[in-house]
Amino acid sequence: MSAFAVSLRVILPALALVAPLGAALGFFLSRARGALRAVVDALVLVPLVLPPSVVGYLLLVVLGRRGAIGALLERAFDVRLVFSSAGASVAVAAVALPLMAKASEAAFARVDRSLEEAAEANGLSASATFRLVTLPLALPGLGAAATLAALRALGEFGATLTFAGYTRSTATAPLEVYFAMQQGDDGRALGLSLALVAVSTIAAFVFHAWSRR
Amino acid sequence: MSELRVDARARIEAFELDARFTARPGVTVLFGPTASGKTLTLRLVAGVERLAGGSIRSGERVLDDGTAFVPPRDRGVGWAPQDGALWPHRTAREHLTPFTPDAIALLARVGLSDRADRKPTRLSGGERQRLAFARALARSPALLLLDEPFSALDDATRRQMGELVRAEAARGAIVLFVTHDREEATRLGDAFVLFESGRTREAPAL
Amino acid sequence: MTVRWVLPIVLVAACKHARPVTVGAAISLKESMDDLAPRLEKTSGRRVDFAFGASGDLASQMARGAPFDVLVAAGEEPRLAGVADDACTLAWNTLALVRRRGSAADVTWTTLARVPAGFRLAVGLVPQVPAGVYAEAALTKLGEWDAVAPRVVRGANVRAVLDLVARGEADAGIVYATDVRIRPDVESLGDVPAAARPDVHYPVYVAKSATADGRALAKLLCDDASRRVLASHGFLDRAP
Repeated sequence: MSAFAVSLRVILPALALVAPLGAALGFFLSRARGALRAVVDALVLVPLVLPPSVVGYLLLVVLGRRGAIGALLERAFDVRLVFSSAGASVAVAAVALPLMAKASEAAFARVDRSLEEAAEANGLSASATFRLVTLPLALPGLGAAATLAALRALGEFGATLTFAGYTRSTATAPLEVYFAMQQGDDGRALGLSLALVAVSTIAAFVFHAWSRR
Repeated sequence: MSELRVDARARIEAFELDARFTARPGVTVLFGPTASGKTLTLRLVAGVERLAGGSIRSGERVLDDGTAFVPPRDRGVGWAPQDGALWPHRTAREHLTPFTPDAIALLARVGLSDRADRKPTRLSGGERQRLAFARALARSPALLLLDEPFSALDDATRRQMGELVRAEAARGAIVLFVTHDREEATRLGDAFVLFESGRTREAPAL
Repeated sequence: MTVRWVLPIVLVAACKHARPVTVGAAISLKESMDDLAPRLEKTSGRRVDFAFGASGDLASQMARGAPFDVLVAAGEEPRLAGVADDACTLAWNTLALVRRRGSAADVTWTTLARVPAGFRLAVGLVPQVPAGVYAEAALTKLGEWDAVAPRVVRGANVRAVLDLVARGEADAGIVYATDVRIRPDVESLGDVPAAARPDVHYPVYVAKSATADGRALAKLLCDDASRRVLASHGFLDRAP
């Protein structure tokens, strides 16, 4: 099932970026107030509420070869994201990050503030409070958030297709299901779909286990 | 710290606080009925709540005056809140290790050395209180804030812990001790602040 | 009692009477079909709904029961055997090699085999995009397919291929000659050489289950007036 091998190659780097960045954003959203928080919250929500194909289109406009950032990437680093596994990872990260951020925000918000107060008032530094109190208490929630993000990454279709295109290195399992169906290869489409259901079910159990801790 | 001058005005929902007193090295007992503002005052001195008006000064230093604000971690405070606020994921020993290398010795002082590797869920109510107290003592702070720290202890243990409080006072700390137990207040207090419906009155004796 | 049932029956009958004719069409025919639509609707008295896409996708759907009355494909669709009849061939076309206007991509039909490693040639997905099937056939005939295959990136239909070239994500692409005028930011590098020219033609299929209106519409599509409209969009009236 090379489709799953491609899926792994695409989602693992994306998740490696999304998990810490999303958790950091979630921490910021759970603690900050005011205009900056409102702006960040809105920006984080945008990819969550937009249809994935629109997200992919916007990525194309900005990160495509003729996009403001894409042109720079090519000129400076000889990097072309469209039709590459890296491009697919970008599309996956774009849709998974908001989910990680919002779910992490909930995890951090659930940490009892009085436990942090007891740390601060007894003299622990901000980083020590985070490291010794906040983060360990939020960790099960962050694990659940990461599982959600991973599930979303695995199932990502519209943004990947619109931005990274369909080629050997971007043919993730969801894309392969679609194109197998298009080509009339129902056997392959069904096989991949069942495999995706199986993986998602296992991940759902993992999510449940994390959430209950 | 030579003295703590509190002139604190704050409002939490419908409750208005107007607390004025000066505390010097020794045990200052904050005494009064429930919900009269004692805990809020301690929280303001600790810095986990902010003043709406007035000021809190320690010596020449302004801790909070509505504009200037020193964050809790920089106030040199040790604080044992009313419900302990113990960390469920850390053992008794781990509650003290971030603050002092002598965690075991400190646990022994409060009689918890045989509970060193237990997490709070496996401690009794009284043991939890003693742990919260030990955490407040850990850095030998100049300002010790204790909010009904011994309410779940039996008389004998309560007296023992009281001795530790007096020892801190003797070393020069300013101790703010909240209690509504008259016997304990009389036994431990050098000075008294009486609370009633958010207002205070200083008194040399109860 | 009977009166209560009359109204719904009348409404349902009226709806059936007004049901539009559904025509699937290869996406390369989009502009031509939009031009033909008013005449088709006026003459037939029915609304005509178009579904545009890669011919292979549309044919697959029709073979699986999608209610197209008519399908105008960009090539033969054997999977429609038993499901539809071939009414006529509407037009012919040829392939063009295109690049983004003003780009430095220096390539021709005969130099494709020698393009550098980072070069991207956009071609339609096979088997569902006829333009892709034709392109592979032409490149095979030119003896270049094996060499250029690693450089190929795919579009889900011929207009997606065109878009990849216009956007610069592909350095060049193979589309129909009629597609070149659709995007002003794309220019042709020449039609496919005669020796490798595939037989690009547009059969009109009529579903065996088509209504009388559907069959009448197919007849309209096959008449001279329709062919003139296609010619005005650059389509050919016979094999080149």
